[in-house]
Amino acid sequence: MTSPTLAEIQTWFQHINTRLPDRSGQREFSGWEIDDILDDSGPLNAQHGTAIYGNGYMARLLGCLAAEFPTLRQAFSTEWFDHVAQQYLSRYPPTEPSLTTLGSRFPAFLQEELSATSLTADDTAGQFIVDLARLERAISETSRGQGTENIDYLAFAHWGSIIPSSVYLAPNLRLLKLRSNIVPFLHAMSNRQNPSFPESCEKYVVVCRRNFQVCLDPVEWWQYELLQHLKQSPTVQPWPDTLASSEIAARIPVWLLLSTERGYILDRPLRALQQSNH
Amino acid sequence: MRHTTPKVGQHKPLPDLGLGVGLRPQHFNHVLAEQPAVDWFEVITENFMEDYGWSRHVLHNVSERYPVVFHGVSLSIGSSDPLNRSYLDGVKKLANEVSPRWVSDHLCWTGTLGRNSHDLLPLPFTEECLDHVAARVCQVQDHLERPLVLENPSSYVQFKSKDMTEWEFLTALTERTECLLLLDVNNVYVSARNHGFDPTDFIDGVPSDRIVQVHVAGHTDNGAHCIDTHDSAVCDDVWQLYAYLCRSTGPVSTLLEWDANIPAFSDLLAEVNKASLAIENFCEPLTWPTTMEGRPGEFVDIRNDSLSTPLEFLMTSRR
Repeated sequence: MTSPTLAEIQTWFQHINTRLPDRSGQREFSGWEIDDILDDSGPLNAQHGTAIYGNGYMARLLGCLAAEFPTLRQAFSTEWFDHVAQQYLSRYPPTEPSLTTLGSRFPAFLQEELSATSLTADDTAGQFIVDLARLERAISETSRGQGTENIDYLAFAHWGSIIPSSVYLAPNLRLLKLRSNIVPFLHAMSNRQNPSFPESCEKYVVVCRRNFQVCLDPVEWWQYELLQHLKQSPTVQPWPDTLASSEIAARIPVWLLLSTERGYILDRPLRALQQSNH
Repeated sequence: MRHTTPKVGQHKPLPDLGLGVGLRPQHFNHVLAEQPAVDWFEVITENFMEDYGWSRHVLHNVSERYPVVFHGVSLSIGSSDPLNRSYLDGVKKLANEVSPRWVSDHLCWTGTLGRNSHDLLPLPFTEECLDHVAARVCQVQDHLERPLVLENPSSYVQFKSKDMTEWEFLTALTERTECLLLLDVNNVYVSARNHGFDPTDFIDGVPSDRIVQVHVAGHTDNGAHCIDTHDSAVCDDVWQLYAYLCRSTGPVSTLLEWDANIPAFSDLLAEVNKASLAIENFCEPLTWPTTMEGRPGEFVDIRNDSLSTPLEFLMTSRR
C-alpha cells in the first residue's frame, strides 16, 4: 500500500470517529482498516485509542447542547434529549470554529422531526418542546449578542414626546410568540421546582439583556407586532395595519419611550451609538 | 504567586509571567470582586470571539488588571482544509481589542471537509505534514502579525506514516517558522504513557529556548492508558516532569488547566502554587518507571472512559 496523503489520513480518521458519511463528494472515502493506518505497537492499542476519539466526539457535543438547552433536557429526560440531540448532530455536524452556532438549528430540527411524526394543531406536547427549545436558544443568543449595556441612555433625553422617524432594535433582542406560558415553567425549573406542564395559550415574550442579565419580558400582542414591524424596518410610521386602531396608536408613543429604558430599541444603529459615546 | 529572576544570560522571546490559571465562567464573579493574587490569566480565545455579553465585559475588566494570554482550540493548523481566514480575522480583532501577551493554539487538526470535531486530533509526523504545517504557521503569523505559540496535544493514537518523533517535528517547526512553544507537561506524560516513550526524551528533544509557556493539568489514569481530562489535581509524576523541564527553561510562564469538576478559585491557586515547591523539591533520578509501558490496571470498558478535552465549560457564560 502506498503511503496515504495527509488529506487521505484526515478524511479517513474523521470518518471512523464521527461515523458521518462524506457528503461533500470532494474525496472518495477509502476502505482502510485501523491496522492499515495506525501504529498498534504502543501500550494503548489502536482500536481503543480510536474509540477514545470516537466516544469523545459525540459525548463532548452532547454536553454542549445539554448546557445550552438545560430545561428541555431536564423536563423530558436525559435519555430522550440525548437521543434527539444525537440525531441532530448527525444531520447537522458542527462546521464552525465557535460552539455558539452548534444549537442554532436545534429548535427547527425538533419542529421538523415532530411534524414528521405526531405534531398536529392539537399536539400541545410537541409545541411545548419546540417552543421551549426556541426560548432556550433565544436566551443563549441574547446573552452573547451585542447589547446596549454601554449605551448612555441620556442620549435619548432629546426624545421628549416626539417619536423619532426611525428606531432600531437592540441587536441581541429576540421576539417570541409562544403557544403556552413557558416562562414561569422555565423559572420554576431553574429554581429546582417541579412544575406541571403549562396549558396552551398564546404568549408574547421579549428576550433582552439588561446589565448583562438576560430578561424574559412578557408583552402584549400589539407590542410584539410593533417590535416585529421595527425588526423588518426601522421606520416607525406608518404602523402596520394590525396596529391601526386609534386606541393602540395612542399607546404607542409612551410604550416606545418605555422600550428605550428597557433596552429594546435605540434611536440609531448600535454601531453609530457606540462611536458617538466614544 | 511566584517572583522569579531570569537566569543570567538567558534571553526569552517572551516574558515569564509567573503562575497563572485559566479564566473560567465559574470564577468570573470571584475574580471581579476579589481581584485574587494570581500572576496572570489564560483565556480560551473562541469563548470570547463571538460573545459580546458578560464574558466579553469580564475579559475587558480582567485584562486591565492582569496579564492575559489567548489560548485557541480551533485554529486547526494541521488540517488539510484551507485556513479559515474569517476565524483568523476574529482572533486578530479580539487581540487588537484586548492586547494579550501572546496567542497560542495546538499542533493538531480539528476537522476536514468543512467539519469541526471540536477535538484536538493528532497529526502524522511526516515530512509532508511538516511542510504543510510550517507553511500554514507562516501564513498565520503573517496574518496575526505576531508569533504563534503552539502546544503539543495529548494523543491516543499514532500513525504508521511517520518520519520523525513528535519532539523532532516540533523542533523542526520552530526552526522553519520561528514559532514558539507552549509545552504541556501533562500532555507529554499522557502521550508517553499511551505510546510507551520516555517523557524526558520529549523534554530533552525540544528547544528549551523556544518554550515560552508551560501547561500543567490533571488527567485520569486508567492503568493501561491515561486520558487528558483536566478534571483533577496535577499528579506527582507530572510535577516531577515539570521540575525536570524547568532545569533547562529556567523560570517560565506556567499555567494550570482545570476544565471539568472545576473547584473553588482558592483551590486552583493552591494547586498552581505547588509549581514552586515542585522545583524546590526536585531531585534525580526521576521516580516513574523508565519504560512508561502502561501500568497494571483494571480493565476499563471504553464506553465508560473519561472524556478528553472537556468543552462544556465553554457554554456556561451567562451571568
